[in-house]
Amino acid sequence: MVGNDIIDIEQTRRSTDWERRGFIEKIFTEKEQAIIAAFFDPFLIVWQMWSMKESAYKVFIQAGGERFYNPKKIECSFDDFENGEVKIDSLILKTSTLINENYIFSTATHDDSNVESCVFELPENDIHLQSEFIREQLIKDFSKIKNQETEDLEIRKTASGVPLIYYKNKVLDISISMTHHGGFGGYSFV
Amino acid sequence: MSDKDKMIEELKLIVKPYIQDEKGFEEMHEGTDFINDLKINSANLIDVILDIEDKYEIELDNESMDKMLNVKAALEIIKAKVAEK
Repeated sequence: MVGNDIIDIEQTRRSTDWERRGFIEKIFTEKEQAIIAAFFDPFLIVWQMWSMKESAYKVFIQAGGERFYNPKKIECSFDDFENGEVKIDSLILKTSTLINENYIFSTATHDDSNVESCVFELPENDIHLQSEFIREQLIKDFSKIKNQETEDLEIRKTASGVPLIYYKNKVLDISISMTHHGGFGGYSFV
Repeated sequence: MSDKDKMIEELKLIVKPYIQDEKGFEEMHEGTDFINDLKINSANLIDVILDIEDKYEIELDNESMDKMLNVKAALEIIKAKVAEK
């Protein structure tokens, strides 16, 4: 299973004030708050950990976990700057994060399995069209890699919102995850 | 207007700056899901919670936040916390 999450850095600077009173305390455990306090760029580490939590949460839901909203129940730790571990209840996941000047992109998996990911700039502003664009992109690239016709591939979501990929109406044993934020989107599969 | 409708109206004002789905917002009702129907970014849901705390002068601990995924749950939690005051 794989979960991913992207954060548009510019959009986040504009729309979310992480320094707002109470914000950090609601999201991060004491251990995480200590990491933030010690880091040279608090903005970056705050949003890197947020994306790690989000991507791990997606795996938690894929694994049949019940939806919840309590970011402190999800705790991050680091091996190094890019790689970390996220704990949700008894689930422990490996995360990997890519950061550049435009975005922060994290993926979470059970092990170090080979995740195929792609990040791109989105041509649309409308959130529904963005989702549609990412689906099409995933199907297009997937069809090339697997040598299948795009017409035979389809993405459907389960009642709990987990996306699944179908080939000729049969669900494939491949885990996919899609994310978008601001002007960027991406997909991952494993 | 019933108390519940009044509270939903108050909640609408609170969530308005963060919604990304106009249609879901216009039709906002008890069953509305903040993330799925209003497309509120999950980080902005923290802002919604902090704004609720400010408006009603209550504190929402992480246990009460846990279920705050839809309007119904939010109303119940606010009511309970206000009653505790």
